[in-house]
Amino acid sequence: MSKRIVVAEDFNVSRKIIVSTLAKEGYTVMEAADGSEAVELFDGRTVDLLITDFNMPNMNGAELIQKVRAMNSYSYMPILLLTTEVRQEKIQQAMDGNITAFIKKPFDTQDFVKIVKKALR
Amino acid sequence: MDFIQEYIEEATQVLKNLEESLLQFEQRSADPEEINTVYRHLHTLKGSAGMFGFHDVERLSHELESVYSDIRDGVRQQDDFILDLTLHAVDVLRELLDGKDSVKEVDKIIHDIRGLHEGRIHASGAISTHGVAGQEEGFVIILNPEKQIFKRGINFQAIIAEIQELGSCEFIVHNEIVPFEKQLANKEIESWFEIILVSKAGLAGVQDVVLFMKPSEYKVFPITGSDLFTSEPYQKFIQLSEKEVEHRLSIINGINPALLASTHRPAAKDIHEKPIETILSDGEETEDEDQDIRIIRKSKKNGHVSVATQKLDQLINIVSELVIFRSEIHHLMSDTKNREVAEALEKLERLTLRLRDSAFGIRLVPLNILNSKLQRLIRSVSKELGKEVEFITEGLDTELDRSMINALEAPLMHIIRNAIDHGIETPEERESRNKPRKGLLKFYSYNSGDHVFIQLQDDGNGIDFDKIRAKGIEKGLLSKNQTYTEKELISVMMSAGFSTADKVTTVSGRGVGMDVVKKDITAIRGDIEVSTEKGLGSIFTLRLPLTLTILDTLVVKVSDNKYLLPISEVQFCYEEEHAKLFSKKSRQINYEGQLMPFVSLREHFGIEESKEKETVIVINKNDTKIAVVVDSILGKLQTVYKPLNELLHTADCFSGASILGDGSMALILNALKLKS
Repeated sequence: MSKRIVVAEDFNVSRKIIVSTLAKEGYTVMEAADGSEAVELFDGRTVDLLITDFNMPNMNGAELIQKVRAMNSYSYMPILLLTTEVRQEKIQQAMDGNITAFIKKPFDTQDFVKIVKKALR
Repeated sequence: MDFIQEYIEEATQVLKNLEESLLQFEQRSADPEEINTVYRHLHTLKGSAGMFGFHDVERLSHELESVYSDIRDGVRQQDDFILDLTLHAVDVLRELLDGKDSVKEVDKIIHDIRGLHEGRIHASGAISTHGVAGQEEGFVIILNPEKQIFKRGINFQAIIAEIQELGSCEFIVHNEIVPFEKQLANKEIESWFEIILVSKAGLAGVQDVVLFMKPSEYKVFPITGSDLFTSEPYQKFIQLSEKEVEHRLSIINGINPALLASTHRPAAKDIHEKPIETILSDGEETEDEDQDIRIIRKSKKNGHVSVATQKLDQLINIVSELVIFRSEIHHLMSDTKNREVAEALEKLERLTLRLRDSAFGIRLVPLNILNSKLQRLIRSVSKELGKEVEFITEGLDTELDRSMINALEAPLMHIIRNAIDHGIETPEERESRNKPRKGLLKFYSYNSGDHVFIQLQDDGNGIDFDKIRAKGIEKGLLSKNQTYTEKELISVMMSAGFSTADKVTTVSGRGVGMDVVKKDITAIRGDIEVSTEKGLGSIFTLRLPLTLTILDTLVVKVSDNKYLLPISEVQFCYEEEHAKLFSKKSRQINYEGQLMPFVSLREHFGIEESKEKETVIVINKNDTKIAVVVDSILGKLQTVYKPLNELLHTADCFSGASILGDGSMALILNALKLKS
């Protein structure tokens, strides 16, 4: 069965790029434009990986990650956080111990796929 | 257990690997790694053949081995002649294992090889520049993961497994106050690890594995010599006693003694004396070892068990029945108020589904296993036809049911044969059209939803519709006075008895055509689609279901009977007044501005009942749409697909049957066939 990935990102263009890159790799991708949309996607489904932006309307990445980690079935799910170079350090401190890896924007799709594959092992 | 049978199975596997390596070779001829692999396979083959009385296999693989040992040592250069000879030898070896008497061929090949050897004496001045097989390097990896590393979504077990895949390695576990397995189960890591790894992956390969770990959680030391363990940076992590250092050195020596011997000349002297010492002390040493240190020895390859398909089928059958049984229980208990029962049911449900997934997973094999066959086909066909073809593959790790891959082989080969024969032009022709001499043949595959797609794309001439039209008229399949769309012409091309080759070539004109391909694909519930652009090439797309036996269906009711519709084909359902639906004479509905025919199942099965409300189900299968009118929808059900037997094959509006949760039978509808 193909792995299921939730992508939360409010910026349409980058979300579309991520979704199409992942779909090409054969993953089942569910997309959300903000944190609260993303939380709904976890309800009653199996999700293998969350890729989320930090800054989003309604519910930001940190809250989303907190909500998801609080769900029983997702306490050990890999989570990849999209950040920009500048903010990384700050966010890193805040998110330490909760996420699997950072993906710096802009990213190279090949590296991106490599990281996703690795996270899903 | 029949040892000979076991040997034959194993040897067949070795031959397959050998073939794959050989074909690798063709693409990247200078890869010393592959040369070594080929050599190793031949050696394995030879080693066990004699024991089981396959003396010809032994003889032949021995001769081949000598050729590849020369290549490996740089005495001889790998060339096309040797490759052809070896590939031919692989075929002969296969025949020998099958019990065929191919002694003559064996002698012929051996004669050819000996000829090579004599040639070598004459040309001994020229020493090849080919490198010796890839360097093994040694590393010590210190892993000191945070206790809560799992909470970060990092699967520490996967990291360990990846390290083991890199090469030969040995783990030394420190601070194992809780057994390591228990730590993994609790998802809390207390221990830290010293890992001695010998690998060809290089430092970058090792660092890739620990990509997600924090810099503070790992450290990689390349093994530069025996003084590593006493060096200052290393001692920051652990202060080792003399005995412990010795122990680590003996581990490295056990894997690859060259690592310590070759690098540091001054140190080499000490080590030379050491092996004897360590052998002697090996027994007591492990006893002496601190209690918190444990050694796990792991070999390089992941273990594989080969299982008879029959046993597998049996397992799948049982699992399939369990799935039905699960539905039955679900059905029986659907209105239970008891929460504990409901919870237990839910657990059962989850487990059954997991069991099903892993049972089906066993049957899944990557498409990769077809690769060598396809490559060889392309090689031989393009040689035969004087065409040059570059074969590119992508997504060969896509997995499919084993039986499906078997069924795919013939149609894929046929499509490829066709593409090279009819599609790709001769190098001269291509040059005159400003295309590179080498034709391009691409093989993509990928998963999407519960389907696997396989695409074969060539950059040849494309499908010549004029030719198809002319041929179709000639064969009486098309009418002269009518114009046809490209889609129609393609479907004619795939109908029985159609072959467009100007003259019948041995390659694609075997009396069977695309119709057989289409039939084969349909038989495994797949579809084939063709798109083409004149002068630029064509793409054949195969769409295949992931598994053959489990199907998500919609249960519908018509009078007293239940029927099943594959959910993947259902696009939309709605209710409609009977009168409104049947008011017009033409049996069509307007769905999203598109008129489409509908079939009332009651009418179709000759049931004379009337209802006020009807349920309309819009079916969309490959963009062909039809609506089906039923009494009501009962629900969704996962069913096990059972094909109909020969007697029912004439009723083609049913594609199969299935047992429902309550034990009753239902037929699976093939809606598109209802039209006629």
